[in-house]
Amino acid sequence: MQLTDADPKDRRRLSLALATVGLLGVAGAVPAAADDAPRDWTFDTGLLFYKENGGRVQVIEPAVDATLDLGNDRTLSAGFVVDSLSGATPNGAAPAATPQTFTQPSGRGKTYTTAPGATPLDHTFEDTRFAGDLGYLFPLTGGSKLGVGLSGSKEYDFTSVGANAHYALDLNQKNTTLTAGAAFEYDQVDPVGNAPVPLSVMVDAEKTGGSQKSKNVKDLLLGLTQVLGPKGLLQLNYSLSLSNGYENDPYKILSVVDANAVPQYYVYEKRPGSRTKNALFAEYKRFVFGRDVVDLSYRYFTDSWGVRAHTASLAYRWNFTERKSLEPSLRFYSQRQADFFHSALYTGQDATVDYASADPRLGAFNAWTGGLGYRQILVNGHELSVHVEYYKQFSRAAGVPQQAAAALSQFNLAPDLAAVNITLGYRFNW
Amino acid sequence: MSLRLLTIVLFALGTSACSGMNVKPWQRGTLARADMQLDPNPLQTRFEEHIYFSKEAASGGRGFGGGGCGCN
Repeated sequence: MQLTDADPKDRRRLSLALATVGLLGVAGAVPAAADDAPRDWTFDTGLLFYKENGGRVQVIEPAVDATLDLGNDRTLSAGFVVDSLSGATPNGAAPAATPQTFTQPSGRGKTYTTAPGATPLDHTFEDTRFAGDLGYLFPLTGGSKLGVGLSGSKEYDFTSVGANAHYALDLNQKNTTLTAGAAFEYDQVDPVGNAPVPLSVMVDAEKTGGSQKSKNVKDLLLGLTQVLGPKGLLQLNYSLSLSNGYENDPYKILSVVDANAVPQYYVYEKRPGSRTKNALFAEYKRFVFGRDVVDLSYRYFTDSWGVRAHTASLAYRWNFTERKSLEPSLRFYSQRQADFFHSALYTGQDATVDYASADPRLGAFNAWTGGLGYRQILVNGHELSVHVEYYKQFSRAAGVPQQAAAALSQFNLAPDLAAVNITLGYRFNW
Repeated sequence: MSLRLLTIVLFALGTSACSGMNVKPWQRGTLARADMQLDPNPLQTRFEEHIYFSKEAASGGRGFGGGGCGCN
């Protein structure tokens, strides 16, 4: 029995955490693993409400993770999420001085119109996503564990299936844990109204770029977790992701403008057919004042599209009573735009560029998230939580065509995005 | 480049940090606490990662989640 100070409830929650680690394929195996797990079910349920400003996207997302403890460090887990999404999303076109009319993705003569000076938003955006996963975590010889998992998701125009495995090895009296994981994912998109020919002019007619597009994603994750004294823990991860295939967003377009920023026509975006992503991640946790927990993390991200990003976050869990805690958190994110990001193209430029996208996600921005969480262990041992977050992106204009820069400067080419999300959580054993 | 940096960090940790920082099994009470796990609230983490994945270009580092998304 190794967990001298921990009560049975803590051990149970630890085994849940470990099981979910397996489920998600996270390189977060914990050096201090419980070895006398009770055989029962744990349910982790949650409900997310997410809403963006200005009538943009809103999401309601219920989720449940079930974990069956099979004893002897073996766990079976299953998760299910429904993601219901509606609202408006930028179509990529730049604002203009006159009303702009766009063809809906489905074509068939349906259009929508954007007011002068406004960011063009596609209001027909609506989707429901179902996602599920299965995982099995079991011990191997000599202080090591193997987790294997399957995952899948389905949306109206998108299907994804994947498999993953991860291995964790405890060393140095369980003070050091090395992890290695790999995942494979196959994604297929069946765009509404077919896929457009990349960089072709948007017309109100059947698109001819094919009806079914796919990509493969291979992920690799290497990690090290090191105990730093009886109150500290450090994790270092490196992740590599190789994606090949259809990387375009079939619904995103770009404005092609003249020197007066008057749109001449619109073209569909085009991204490279592969993307390599690298991330270095470090997380440090420390127990302070004999009561609270500080969590610090940092990630450096770089990819083959020229994006560079820094992410830093800080959370402080204030256990103000034995059963109740408040957790304020702060996250800062900053990204540089992709090499082929253009707010708009200048007349004729669409014939000379290899790739182009005006997707704001590939633009340049900083973002802040402020959060506050509340958790309480109820008298029956169940855990209730409420978490509120405010997210704000501060965009920087980037990829503005020189010849039209003066005229385009009258518009807000990089509008800020703000969103609020609330998560309700309820965790219990059966 | 990134791999080289990681190798250096791992090596430095492997050779220096372990000797004085190791804890014995009976000193693990604090580390075994639910709130001292690296990801004590996996469902919350998954929600957040999903939001960030759909709004930002960067992803990864912490792990790989199940089930991709079209994420417009």
